[in-house]
Amino acid sequence: MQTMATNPDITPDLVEALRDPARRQAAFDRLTTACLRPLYWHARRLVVVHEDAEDAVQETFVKAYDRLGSFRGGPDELTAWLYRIATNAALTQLRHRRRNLFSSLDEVGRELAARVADEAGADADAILVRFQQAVLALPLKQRLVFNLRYYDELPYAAIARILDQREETLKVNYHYAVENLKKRLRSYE
Amino acid sequence: MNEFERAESRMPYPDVDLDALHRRIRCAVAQREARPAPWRRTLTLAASAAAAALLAAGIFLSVRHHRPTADGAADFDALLASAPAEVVADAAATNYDEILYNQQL
Repeated sequence: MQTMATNPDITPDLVEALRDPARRQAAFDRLTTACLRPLYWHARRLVVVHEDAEDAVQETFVKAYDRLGSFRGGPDELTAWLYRIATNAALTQLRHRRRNLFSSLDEVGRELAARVADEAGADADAILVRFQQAVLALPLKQRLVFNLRYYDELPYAAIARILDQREETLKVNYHYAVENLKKRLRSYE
Repeated sequence: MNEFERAESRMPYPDVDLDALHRRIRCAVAQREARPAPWRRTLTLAASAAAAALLAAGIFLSVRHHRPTADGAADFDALLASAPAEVVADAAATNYDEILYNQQL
């Protein structure tokens, strides 16, 4: 099974090249090729709108390039590091969408759920649209864990590195996310 | 089909072409590479700040050096040392501080 965490293109050699000023730019382009799609879809699941996801991903790679000097670790840590930057960039996009200072990111998620159908287009699978709307209605903590576990198929250890949380907490959040989704999807029937 | 494609197929959105985004990122990274290295920017900023601080200190000291003393004692000292005795006496007679006059005597 190939997941972002076990992406064969992210090798120790690539990490080494990123630390070498003479090879850094070319190595970073290889890293972009390897991670662009998974990071785009990770951001898209959070921000829904295509253009916002693109902006978040561009910001992710530019920030990562600027901070390469401070990165320590191997391929797994590099993947988690990129996911963490992408998550923060997407959450920043969501904060810009808040109606006022006091509205929460959970409210933004529920508002974005209404945009899923428009973004999906007329030919979209209605079940997938409803499922995505139900995911967007989850509390943010549950949604983040659910997306990384269900869609990106990352192990809990990797998610723990990305979200800086204990694995046990993540398992509980994932369990509640699945239960919440079952309830919401039953209510659609 | 790899896992990425499988995950995407579970999304309701149409597939996207990310080539333009990749080009934008490549361009942004190339622009950053063309800029001076961060340590060089930091060094330039530090040198500018040090130069500005030195200039400000120079201006401050220069103004302070040329400013007359608050009580004017130095001016009086110079006046008393250079003026003829009768001028000093006249000045004292016309309401100069008596203590100052007595010191001159």
